[in-house]
Amino acid sequence: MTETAAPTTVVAAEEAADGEAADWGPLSSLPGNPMMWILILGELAAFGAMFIGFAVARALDPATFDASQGQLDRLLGGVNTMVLVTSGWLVAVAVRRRGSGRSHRVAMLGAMALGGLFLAIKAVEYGDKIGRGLTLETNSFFQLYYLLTGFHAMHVAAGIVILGIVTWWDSLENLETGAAFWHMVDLIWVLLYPIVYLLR
Amino acid sequence: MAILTRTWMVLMLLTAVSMWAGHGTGGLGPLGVGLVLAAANLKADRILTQYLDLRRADGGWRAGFRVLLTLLWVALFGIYVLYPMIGAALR
Repeated sequence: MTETAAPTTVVAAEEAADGEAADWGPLSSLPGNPMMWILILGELAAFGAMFIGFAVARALDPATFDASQGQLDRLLGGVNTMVLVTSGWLVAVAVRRRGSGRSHRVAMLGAMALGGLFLAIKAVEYGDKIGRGLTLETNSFFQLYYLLTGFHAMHVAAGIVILGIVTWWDSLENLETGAAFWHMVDLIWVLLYPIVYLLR
Repeated sequence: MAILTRTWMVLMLLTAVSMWAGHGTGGLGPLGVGLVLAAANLKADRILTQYLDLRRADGGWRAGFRVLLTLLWVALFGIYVLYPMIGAALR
């Protein structure tokens, strides 16, 4: 007679309850749903190409890009980086707490609130630029600035909705999948901030 | 949990380093560009390893993301440092 070891973690218990996990090949070892990682890889490729495109556009017209970049609020961009990084920390903490069977909702709500703060700061920044007549039509720098930061802000808004969904339907896999999307949004911003606001 | 908090502190510190290195007017020079990009790359690596928990994944994933980030770092560093030549060649 053989004995089966009792599951020692929530992950093991849920896997045991769900039966054998689907085989996603090399994607199986990644946390959360593998489909989210396919999305993450696609998003990183798209933003990576846009970052290279931004750098090449700047090489073609450095005077316009450097003067326009001087109109941005580097401090506000840095503060927003800290806001998003702190939000990511709260989501990571929530996932670990869920994995060990502890309460995680307060951390998730805090992460969503910080996501909202990020968007509010971004709105203040856009309002200031538009108020000074710096719009999509100003020059190629501001076209790319609004394109990149706007596209990212849409991901933040979608991320807040996803975090809300996985906070409500909070299986460990759901939470890990939502967290993976949020960390991808965080990751893209930590690359976007220096390229658009700082490098010259 | 402690490792996550340490990671958060490192990310905050690296953001402050980026803000300090990138402040002011005028070009950053190769050293400044390298420092700002290195801080960003290190932050991205910490997010992937600790927040996204790639430590749990097969070693190939972490190495693959590191290669991608390094390629992006090299490409951006090259474009920002060699921009007069690149601009002249593309015009």
